Amino acid sequence: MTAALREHEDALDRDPLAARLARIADPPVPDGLTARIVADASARRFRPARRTTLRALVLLAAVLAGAIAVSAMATPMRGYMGQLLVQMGLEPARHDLAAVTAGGQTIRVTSGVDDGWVVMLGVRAEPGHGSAIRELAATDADGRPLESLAWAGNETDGGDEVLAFFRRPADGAPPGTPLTLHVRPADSVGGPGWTLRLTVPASPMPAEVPAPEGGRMAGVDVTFPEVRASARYIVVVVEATGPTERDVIQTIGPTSLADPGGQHVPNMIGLGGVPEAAAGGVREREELYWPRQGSGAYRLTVGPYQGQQIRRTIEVR
Amino acid sequence: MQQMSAVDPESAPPEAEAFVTAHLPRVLRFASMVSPPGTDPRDLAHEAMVRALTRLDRFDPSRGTAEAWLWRIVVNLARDEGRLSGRRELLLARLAGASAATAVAASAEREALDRLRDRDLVDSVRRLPRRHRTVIALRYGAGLPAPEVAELLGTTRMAVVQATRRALERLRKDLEVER
Repeated sequence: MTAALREHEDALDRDPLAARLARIADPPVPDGLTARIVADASARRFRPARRTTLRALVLLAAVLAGAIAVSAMATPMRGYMGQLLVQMGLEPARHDLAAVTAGGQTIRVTSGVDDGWVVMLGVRAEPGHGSAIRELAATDADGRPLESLAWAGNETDGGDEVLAFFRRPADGAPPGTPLTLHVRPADSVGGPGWTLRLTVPASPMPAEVPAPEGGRMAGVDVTFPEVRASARYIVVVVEATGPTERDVIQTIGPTSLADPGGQHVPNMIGLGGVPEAAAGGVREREELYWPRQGSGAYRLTVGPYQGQQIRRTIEVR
Repeated sequence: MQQMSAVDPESAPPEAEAFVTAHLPRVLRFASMVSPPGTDPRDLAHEAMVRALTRLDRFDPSRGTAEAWLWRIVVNLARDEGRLSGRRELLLARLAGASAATAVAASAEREALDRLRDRDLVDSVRRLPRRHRTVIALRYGAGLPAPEVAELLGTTRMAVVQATRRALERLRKDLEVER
């Protein structure tokens, strides 16, 4: 530090007005503000759960309870992520795609999808810590990194279960070729982490589905640039452009899907969702995933936001 | 990489509430200084804390302290909402040159300042031009040292010290007029 800088800083420290400003008391925290913040953050943070209505959660719990009642004791209890894998027809699987045990921790890749659109991996950490897994990274057969899109996870009785999403590089090794998964543990667990080598059988790329018309609600323009469906899942790309980040987040956030029977489909994850400046304010593009529940007319609902919503039909054949 | 360490919302509130309880008062204090008249500082504090909570799982301890990470979020939000000056504005202020120092007897000033209510002082800060509000709110609202303010605003430590000095001079003049 230069002498001149030190001199300026010392002079500031001695300034009576600076000292008085530093003594200003913290303003009182308004009643209920902390609770509102936690509730709002919970609604935004836990997106898969947020998009699941209470009714769907109750149904899911009932399904789980039923499954537990009829399954053998050796079958691990499944949480939200595990149940999504079941709904996609990926589990129960005959065997793990890969497993490694080191440092008292077992990491298993229980199932996956590798279809040229996305790479999805179901991962279990046993025993569970709630935070055993901190970071997941994957490389292809040529050692090129896959794009890490997102992962979501939950604790269950038997361990932590995670559903991770990656994308292969455009000119990289094709689907169905070997992958290497690097799992970095949480600091509380420590250690160098685990490396697993696996191959997820290639499956057909999700087919394009006629995208519904866009719409406008509460000052936010919503479009659906792409809709696709595979045998396992449905993905809807939603783009919202509105005056502020808050507008676009709160528009896309509650988006939900009902299957042809009118039942709520639990949301798997929203990928992307990074707002950027655009003409008209802020734009957010998000890929929303749901497990496919047969063929027919699915009902997509964007919102509600400020009492408005956009409802569209998606025909999945 | 976006991560969610848990999906069960029931498991979130205790940890989240502790985080909010620990940091909200100072974020509110910062917001109360940086928000111009006619805006509600609670909106900024609320949104900043929600944004921080939703990104808690992206915090990487190897890249700095949780406090520094939190303030980056708060400052980015305040800047997005037009409440904070960026580097360009600070540099322009520096080029404009420092105004003359106000000659006020330190002891007499201390007495006068001690009689001033917190609320009146904060109101005066909020009426300052944005570039002055910015450094005052970061230094004395958020309680951040000059190096951290410099990093948040993308400028030099010396520029922050000079900007703070000019902001104090302007606030001092405003307070004198009000008295």
